[in-house]
Amino acid sequence: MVEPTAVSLQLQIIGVVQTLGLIGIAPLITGIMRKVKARTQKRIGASIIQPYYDLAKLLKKDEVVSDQSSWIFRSAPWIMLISTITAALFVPSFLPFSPFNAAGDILVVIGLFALVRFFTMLAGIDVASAFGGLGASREMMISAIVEPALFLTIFVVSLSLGGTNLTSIASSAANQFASGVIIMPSMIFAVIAFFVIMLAETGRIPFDNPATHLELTMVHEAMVLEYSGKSLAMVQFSQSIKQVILLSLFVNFFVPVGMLTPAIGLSAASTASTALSFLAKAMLVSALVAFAETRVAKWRLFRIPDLLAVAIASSMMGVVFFYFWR
Amino acid sequence: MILLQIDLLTISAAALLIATFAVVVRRGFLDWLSGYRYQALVLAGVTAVIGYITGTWEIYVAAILTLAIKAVIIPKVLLRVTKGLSGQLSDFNPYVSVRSSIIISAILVILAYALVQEMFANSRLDSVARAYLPVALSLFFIGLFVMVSRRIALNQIIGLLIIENGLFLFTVSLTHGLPLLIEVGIFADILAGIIISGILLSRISQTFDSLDVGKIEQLRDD
Amino acid sequence: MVAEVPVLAGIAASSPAGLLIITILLTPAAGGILVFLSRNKRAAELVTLVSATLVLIQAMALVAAVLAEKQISAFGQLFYLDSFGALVLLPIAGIGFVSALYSINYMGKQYDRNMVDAKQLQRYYQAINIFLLTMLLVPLSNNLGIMWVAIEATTLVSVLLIMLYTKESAIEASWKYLIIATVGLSFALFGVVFFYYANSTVQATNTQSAMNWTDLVAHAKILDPNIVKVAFVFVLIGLGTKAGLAPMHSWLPDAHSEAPTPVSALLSGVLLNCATYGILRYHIVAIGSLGQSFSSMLLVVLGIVSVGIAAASIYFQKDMKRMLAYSSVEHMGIISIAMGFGGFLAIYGALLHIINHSIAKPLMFFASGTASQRYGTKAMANIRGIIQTMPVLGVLLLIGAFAIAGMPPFNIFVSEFLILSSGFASGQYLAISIVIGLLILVFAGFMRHIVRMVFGSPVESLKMSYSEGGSLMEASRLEKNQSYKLAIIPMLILAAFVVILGFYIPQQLHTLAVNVSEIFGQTSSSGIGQNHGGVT
Repeated sequence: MVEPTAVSLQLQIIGVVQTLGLIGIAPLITGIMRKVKARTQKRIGASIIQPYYDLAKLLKKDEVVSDQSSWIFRSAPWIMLISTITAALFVPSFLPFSPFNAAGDILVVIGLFALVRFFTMLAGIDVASAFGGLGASREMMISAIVEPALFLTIFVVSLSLGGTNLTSIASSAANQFASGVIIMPSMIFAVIAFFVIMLAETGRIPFDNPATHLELTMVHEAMVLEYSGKSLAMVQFSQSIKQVILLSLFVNFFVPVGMLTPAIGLSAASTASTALSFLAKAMLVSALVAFAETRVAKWRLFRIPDLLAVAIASSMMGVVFFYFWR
Repeated sequence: MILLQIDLLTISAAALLIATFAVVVRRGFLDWLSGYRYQALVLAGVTAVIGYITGTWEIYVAAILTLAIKAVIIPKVLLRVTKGLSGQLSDFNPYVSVRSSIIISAILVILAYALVQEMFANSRLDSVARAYLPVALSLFFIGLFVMVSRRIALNQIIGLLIIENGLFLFTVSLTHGLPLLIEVGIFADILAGIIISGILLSRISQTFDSLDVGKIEQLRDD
Repeated sequence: MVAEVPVLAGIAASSPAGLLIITILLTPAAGGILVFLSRNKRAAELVTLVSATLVLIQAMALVAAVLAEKQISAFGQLFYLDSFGALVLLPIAGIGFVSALYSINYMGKQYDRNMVDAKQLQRYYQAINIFLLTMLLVPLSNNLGIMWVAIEATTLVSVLLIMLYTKESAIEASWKYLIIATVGLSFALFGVVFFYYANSTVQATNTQSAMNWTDLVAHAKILDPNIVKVAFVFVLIGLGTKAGLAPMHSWLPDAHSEAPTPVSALLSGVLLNCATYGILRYHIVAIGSLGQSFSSMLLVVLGIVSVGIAAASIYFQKDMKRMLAYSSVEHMGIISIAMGFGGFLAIYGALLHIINHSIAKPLMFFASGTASQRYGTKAMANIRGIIQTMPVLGVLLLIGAFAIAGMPPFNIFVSEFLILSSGFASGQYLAISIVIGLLILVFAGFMRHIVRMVFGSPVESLKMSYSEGGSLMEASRLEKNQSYKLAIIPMLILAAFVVILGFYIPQQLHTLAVNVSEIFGQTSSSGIGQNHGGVT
């Protein structure tokens, strides 16, 4: 429905608005997750817009930078933020398409995430504090196993929905759903794998605890421990954006309910309904993630490969089911 | 309609595989048991679906038997047996680590699909057989693997039960049910086998004070 | 499939011989129930003995009927007995009878020594009856599904018998046996279902009979050869496990050596035959569908591996009953090799071997069981000079050992000779020379152990086992309890058969064996002629 090569100015504006919207709701999703988690733990919890206040407060604060650190430490937050925002441009979220897909498909999004992770690790090592190195080495170990699982899952999704182009994946998912196929068998396995990977990539329990500063368990927090003020705001913001990107990928791949299909066409009403349904689904899934998080305890670092093995095995079976399902 | 039917078949097949993996992933006996019970429930559902598609009433009876014996009676028997056992019920130190077992099980599933493709290359299978035969074979392989890869004797029973589920699915999907008399005979054999192995388990835990099969190795030629 | 009404109709429509099939199955079932009801040790013994005797008589009558009619059936086609089934049925009934007889003495002594209590004894006799029932069901069922259920049931009942003793080794053995045999049999069920599928796809109308062996053989030519191949491999692995063929035999020495001796005799002498019988039934179908080469090759290879592993294990064995168990592996291997060779002579020899082995092996088990009861140990190093302590038993043990090792003029020599010469006749020189080499090793191993046990000085070994086993008081009490006359009777019966069958093959047996060769698609013209029969 969208010609990837010839993108009109109107569509470009729509795309930028979509991206801005996605970035805008990123802290909100984080807030919702915290709230759900607090509620399931019988706490009242902070307001769901608290992350916005946090970011604003951090932006106003002074920054302390270790004199042992190099330019890497100072530039890393910028790289993280810019990479995640760039990735957000390619992701269809409120709409089943992104006008910038000619420039980047799902592999580019994954690559940008890898860049973010790379610089986070570098920054962690750069300040030469014990925690930074510890967090970086843990992160390296996890990412070394997450990556193959992620690629296998993407493989299953691409096979089932045709191509790595995010627009075509999202629209064919919507088409499939509209034509009565609730879920393809191969996608069942992809859902399981992707959910596990989503937890790993966003550093949720059981991989990492985003709310802790307990030195023995933290992974991501250990790497960014030295940041303060504006830099910390950028790091946290980019983390939120990454989370919401993965969430929207999940929603648009696997739960294309209420998604705009080419048959309906682009109009103000249909756009609004699609956007609203996306928002609802994203909140629901984030609540689900937060709820799932409260059901399990953080795992020992060396048991983490077990869970990622589940993701890998599940994707492998997705491939099998794709080839034998005809 | 046909599309939807095949879809139902494949999705239930996928559900069965997921149930099997639930047993492979877990380490505790109670988790295995609940995984097995879930598997038996799905199996009963699958059997009923096959009965609906083929329109044979014997398969419905088999589905009810599956539900009653595998989803209710056998877990009950095992629970009762294990209540009085001494020694560790959970396997924290299996011969093959959990993560490798998961991957190996997935490879076994691939192998099963390939084997079925190979074996029935020149025979016409109906949609039911095509959907479930590979799953049945996967259950068989994974059951065998679970039996040899874990230390706790309970695992061998669970593995045996998984194998048995695979066998049952195999017979129902390939031949649309054995004659009922034989089906009942097989069920009776399973039930008796579980009861006997339950008695043996409690004796093992009494005499060896452990359920670790690695420790039950006195009889050998030396 | 058998609805309510046809049960009565089936009985009414059966011939007298068909009725006999029903009653021979009901006899041990009734025996089991009566033992369950009996409160007293003597009554349980008596009931078991009577039921075993009745089974033997009825089995003989059935064999006579088969000789007259070639095949009989009951319940429509559900039960079916031909010459092959008869050849397996006869040892079951015969060894069942002698085991029941031997049990009275052996288990009685175990009871006196507090190895078993009254409740266990009752359970033992009950299980023996049910064990007989399940084994009888195997050669009598035509429906392959029922045959599978029966074979699985034999596993379960024999596990119960092995775990009668609550010592560690018995528990371990029964656990291994239960797990390995059940897994093996699940392979077999895969094969059974494959055969059923292959057969039900070639006939459009009546799939109810597609599981019957007679039906399967009738359609063998038109079955899908690919599926038959896979199916036979599955059945061979599965039933091969139960028959103790080599790579799958690991449970056998444990189970056979830890069981109470009369049960060991039944396991080794008869139960292995049942499983082998199952394999051969499928072998016949596979021959019909694929020709000789496929299944025969598998049988020969498995057989040679079995004989090889058994030979090595026998030579270095320390435990008497384990040695006998490995010898069973060896003999099952020989039968499998012979069936693989094919041809009239080999099949004739294999059938004789089935009978001969199931006579000689129980004799050995009984003799060694009594000897180890006397010496209080199963370790061969501690048993010396049986000929001085128990002269009759020593002679019987020697006869049995010579027979088992394949010495002329005993019965096993005859069948082994037939099998080996058939191998030469069909040009399988490599296989035959390997087997002969291994048989020599087995012979050497057996002689090495048995000669030392029978001859040698008894004093030291007795003293040693008593000092190990307990106080002097107990030793003297044991001394008083050494009457083993009742145990000698079944051994004498078996020894008589061992000797007689070494010289003379009864006409009836000959006819049966010739008929079976016909079932295998072999006519007697290719080997020893029908007129040659009788004396070998």
